[in-house]
Parts: sequence; C-alpha cells; structure tokens
Amino acid sequence: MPSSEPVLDIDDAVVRYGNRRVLHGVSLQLRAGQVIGLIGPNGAGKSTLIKAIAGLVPIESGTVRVGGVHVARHPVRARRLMSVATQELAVFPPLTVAENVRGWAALCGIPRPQRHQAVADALAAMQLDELRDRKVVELSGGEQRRTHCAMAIVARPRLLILDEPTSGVDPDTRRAVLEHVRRISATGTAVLYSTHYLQEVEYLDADVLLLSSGRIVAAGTPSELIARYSTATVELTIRDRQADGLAQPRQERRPISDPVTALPMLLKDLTEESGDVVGVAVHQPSLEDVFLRLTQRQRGGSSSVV
Amino acid sequence: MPVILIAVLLPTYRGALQQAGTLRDNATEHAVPGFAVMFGLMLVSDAGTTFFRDHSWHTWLRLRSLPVPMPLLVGGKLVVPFLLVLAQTGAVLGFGVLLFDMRIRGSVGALVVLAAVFAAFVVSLTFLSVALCQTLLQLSAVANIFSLAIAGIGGALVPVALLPQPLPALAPLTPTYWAMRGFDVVISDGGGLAAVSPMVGILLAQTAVLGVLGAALFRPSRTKVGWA
Repeated sequence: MPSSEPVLDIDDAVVRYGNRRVLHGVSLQLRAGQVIGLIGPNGAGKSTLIKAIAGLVPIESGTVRVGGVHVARHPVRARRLMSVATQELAVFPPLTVAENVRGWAALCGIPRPQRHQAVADALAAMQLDELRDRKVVELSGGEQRRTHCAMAIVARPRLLILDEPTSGVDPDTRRAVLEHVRRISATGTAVLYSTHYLQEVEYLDADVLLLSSGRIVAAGTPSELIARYSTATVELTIRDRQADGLAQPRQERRPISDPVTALPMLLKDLTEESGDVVGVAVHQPSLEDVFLRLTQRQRGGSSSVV
Repeated sequence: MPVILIAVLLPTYRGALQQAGTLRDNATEHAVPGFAVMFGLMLVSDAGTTFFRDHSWHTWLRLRSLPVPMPLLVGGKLVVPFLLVLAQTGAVLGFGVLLFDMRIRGSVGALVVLAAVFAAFVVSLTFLSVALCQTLLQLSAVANIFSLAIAGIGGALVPVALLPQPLPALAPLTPTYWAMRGFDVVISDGGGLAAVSPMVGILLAQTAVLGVLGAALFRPSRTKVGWA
C-alpha cells in the first residue's frame, strides 16, 4: 500500500519549448508503492513531463521534487533516486545484453559487490537470461525493448519511470514488463507508467493521470473516472406495436446510470408506451470511453482541469 | 596509414629538407612527428562521432538521466579519444624508431608529456567541434578541413621554412607549430622536459581556450543528427 510521504511531488510545473507552452501547471504526487498510469493522446506532453521529472528539460515555474530533493537545484542527487526508461529505445547495439545492463548498473553507481546480483535479477525479470551473451544489434525489437527496460530496473530506484515500455512488443514481453511493475510496486517502488494501452493501466491496478494538451484533465482510479465521466448505455431492440408484421424492429441507445436497478423500470415503461422490447444489450463504460470523451472535449477547445 | 605514408614520402622529404638546408638526420626527424601530429588531428572526426552515435542510438538522453554531473559525463566520453590519440602518436613515433631509424636524442619522458598534451589539445578541439556542429556530416567536414589546415600551416606536412608567405607568420598561432617545435627540440636537439616546457605551456593554453569555448557553446539538450 502506498505510504503517505510522496516519492514524487510535482507542484504547478510549467514547461515551455520556445514560445510554446507544453505543460500548463501540472501537479502530481506519487507515493511509495503506488503506480500511476500516465495516459494521453500523442503530443499531450507525457514525455515532456517525464523529462521534466528527470531534470532533462528546464521548468519555467513550479517545482519537481523526488524523494524530497529539488530536481532543478540538485539534479544529480535527485537522479540517484530515480530511473528512467525513455520512450525511444536507448541501448548500446554493439554490446551484449549483459554488458548493456552491467555497464548501466556501474554508471548508476551500484557498488561492485551488489552489481552482479542486481544484473542477474534485472535479466531474469525481463526474461533475458538466455540472451545475455547476444549482441543487442542481433536482437529483435521486442528483445531490445526488454534490454532497455532491464537497464532501467537494474538500479532498483525509489522512483521508476517507464515511458511506453511495451511499445512494439509481443504479448509475452508485455506480460513480463507488467508483472515486474506489479512486483516492484508491491515492494515499495513508486512507478510512473506512461502508455497508450489503457488495459495495461487497469491490469496494473494503477491510478490514472490523463494528460491532454499539457494539462491534467482527469486523475483518479479507473473506476472513479468511469463513474465520474461516463455512464453505461443500454441498446434496445424494439418492435413497435403499431407497425405491421413485416416492419423491422428499431434500435435505440439510451444512457443508464445503474443498469441493475434502472433497467427493469425502463423496460416496463417502454413496453407500455411503444412496443415489445425484443433485444437488450448493456454497454458498460470503459476507461477508453473516458479517454475519448475527455480528450475530444479538450481538442474541442474546453480546458477544464480536474 | 601514417607509417605507409612515411615510407612513401620519406625520400621526397629528404630532398626538400636538403634543398631548404634544414636536413638534420635522415628526414625522419620531421616526417615521423609530422605525420603523428597530422593523423592525431584527423582523429577529431572519429572522436566526435562518439557523441553523435549516442544521439543516433538515443542513448544521449538516457545518459543525461544518470546521476552523473555533465562535466564528468563529457569528460568520461573524451577519455577514450585521449588515450587513442596518445596511443596512435606513440605508435607512429615507435614505428619511426623501429622501422625508419629515427633517433631520439632527448628525453623520452619529455616526448610522452608532449604527446599527452597534444592528445589533450585534440580532445579539446573535438569537444569544441561537437559543440559547434549539428550533424555528423558537418563534424566530419569541419574537423577534416580544420585539421588539415592547421597541420599544414603549423608545419606538420612540410617544414614552416618551406611554406609560402604569409603562412610562416601565421604558423605560431597553430598548436601544430608548437607540437612540432617540441618534438624537434626533443628528437633533434636532445632536449628534456625543461626545454619543451614553453611549447607544452602554449599547447596547454590553447587546449584550455578551446575547452572553455567548447564548454560555453555545448548544449547538452540540443539534439544532434547522427547517421539518419
């Protein structure tokens, strides 16, 4: 369970590229053991937010603290507490898988006595044991992505940031990454997980941060967001009483807040008013519905911040 | 490559030095350090490639996310080029002794110090070139043109005395001139560390100027184009 002390604390962060504001006062707290799924359309500012956390882009105003350390003032100290797997595959192709992970462990400052075990654990977590002596340049894209992730987890940071770690990987690799995220969050690592695959956020049981046009447009658990921003719909197939026997039944879609209690009443009313209900399909809202609704609204000009 | 060129061009050098009245031994005393210096400068492009390669592999951004201060990161990346230039210079001088009967009259220690300072200059020039160039093609062109130009003007190709006017007057502005003077003092005049210290000092000052310029112009967040 997440503790009360935030590992990552972002307060009103604004980032600007030239004259263009790409983050508009983003605030966020991430606690030990918590996983936040960072979602949003392309160009929403997810990677910029990640770069701002790592101190790789300057923040115009606001603050970012990792483990209580002010990132802009003490970037090196802050980076000791975090590890970032960037969106772009970042591995050293001429080196073997083990050399990549071992070298990265050394660069992260893991002492030599602990390094061997840390590398072995990271390779095992990403199912890379059998590939450890293969040169990365010879590997498939998915295998390279696993190496990329292994480099991020080898340092066993307090804050792990994964930017689209399952982009272009097969289901096995995706499962390995997700399982590892669940395992390390259970041991207290705070994880910021950026993805376009919304089912991954649900699988991780993560809290959701929906970013659109550089603003947080929704935050909460998937069920909270679904309850707040979306409603179930019921699709009814109705045969009108007045119609002749050859007429096709018509279909109608209606929002319904609580299908269990409201549906019997709705069916009774419809039967009395218009005809026989010959088909009923309840569509439960998903995180994707919330995503589409909020990001389309944002694109449409609204800038409501939750 | 420098060893082959020395073998091919040594008779030409001998004739040219004889004509200029500056021949001391068998022309190796000029040809060997000259090619060592010129080919050392030609490593600027290769050394700079290590930075551009990181951009192509997307590892530069990742390296920047490490808990390592930027000067240490850049310094770490320049250590290997430094050692490479030092090793290449040492190898060319060594082959000069073994294959071409070059006589080193002065202190080998002074030669090592001179070679190390020259390698530091090459690394400093590399850093400045990386800071200035946006693409690998730019780096390659700038580094090769600049390296050949200062090698020529500084007397690494032919002795300064044989250069057309006004190049001899410009020669002291180049690091190659002072490196060649230093090698000449040790190899031909039998000088030691004290004798080469003025040349070492000037080379170090030029190294520092380029290093400071590089540091002022280097933008870690600026994306560079590698092979793409």
